[in-house]
Amino acid sequence: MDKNLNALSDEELIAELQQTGNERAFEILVQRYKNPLTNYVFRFLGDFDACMDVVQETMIKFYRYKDNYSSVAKFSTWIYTIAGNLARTEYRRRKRRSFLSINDYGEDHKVFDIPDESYRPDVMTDSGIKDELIQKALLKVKEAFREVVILRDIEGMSYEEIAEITGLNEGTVKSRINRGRAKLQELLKDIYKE
Amino acid sequence: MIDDEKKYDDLIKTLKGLQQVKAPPNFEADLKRRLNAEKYAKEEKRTIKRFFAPSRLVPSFALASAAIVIFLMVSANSEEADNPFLMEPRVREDMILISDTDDLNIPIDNLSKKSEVIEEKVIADKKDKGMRRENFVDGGSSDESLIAGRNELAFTETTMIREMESVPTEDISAEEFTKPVATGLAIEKSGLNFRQVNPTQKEQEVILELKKKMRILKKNEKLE
Repeated sequence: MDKNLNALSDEELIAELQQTGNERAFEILVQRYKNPLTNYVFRFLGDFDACMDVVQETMIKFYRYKDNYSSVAKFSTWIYTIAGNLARTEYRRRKRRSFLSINDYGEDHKVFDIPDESYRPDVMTDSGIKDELIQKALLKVKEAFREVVILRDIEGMSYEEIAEITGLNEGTVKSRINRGRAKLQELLKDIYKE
Repeated sequence: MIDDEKKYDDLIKTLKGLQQVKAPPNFEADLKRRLNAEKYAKEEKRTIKRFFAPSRLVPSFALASAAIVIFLMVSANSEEADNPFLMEPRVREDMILISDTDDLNIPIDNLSKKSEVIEEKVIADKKDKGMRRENFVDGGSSDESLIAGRNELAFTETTMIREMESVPTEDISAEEFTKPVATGLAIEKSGLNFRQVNPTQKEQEVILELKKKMRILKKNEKLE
């Protein structure tokens, strides 16, 4: 039974979950998407704890509103939309709170990450200074540009999918990606010099 | 668009080469815990909603209001019972209540005489009371005399009862029983306890003879 479920596509699995309420289908989808979503949300927020909260909340929302999913859209698009919305809300909330916090988020502010555990990716990036610099540069790019750059260049999505996730026109998506890339290249010019 | 991709080729390669961030190993366990907590919270909310649903509140509200109305009615009645003007007087300990006339064994002649005496005394007492009231209204009596009057009244009542108690007791014969009952004492049926007697054959014969005599007496009275 498990083997059969594992062989199913995302859309077939969610259909199984909707029709039979099979919890195993939900577990498989969580297994498939937990890492891509964690990567996407972490690159967007730059904080692992906040990222984990957002990803967990995404999965809870997916479970709660599973019946709202329609097979017209791809499952990946649907779940990335949920994660993106939650990540944006969290980012804005943290930005408001940053007036009182040691952590400062935003395009023109420095980021002070306090390292915690060795397994954490934000700590792991310490091993590669390049990764850390890129992450910091990403956080300096405007929210609207950063999101599409991450989806396109880190998550490897098509323009069409990004347009669906963000609810923008494809043209706007391409334009934003270019502007984001330009800003990022400017921020990372020292790396390329090396 | 392809030109743009080429323009940022190095950047794209750098971004794609970023280390993949992975979820921690306890991700699923945490997720399950949170889902279960949410389910429990939902159930709790549902039970609270169910408990306070209008369909559930109406009968309980009706029951509560009915209980309040009943309580108010009972409490109002209890107030009436406590009202000294509506209370029945207490049974006096110095008086003897007679529930059965058989216990008395008083000869009717004596009883009528006694009752006459008692009636006379009561009339005299009433007259005396009337006199005292008149005096009180006129302002001719002091508080001390009033108190003395009350004591006298109490004394006369107790003496009357003692006199009734001291009446000699004799067995009432059949003839005496047939005599007309003294009218001095008003005896009501409602105040009496009737004893059911199962007479023997001899007693029944005596009763029949007495009944015959009664009829004859009644006929004679009618003839006279």
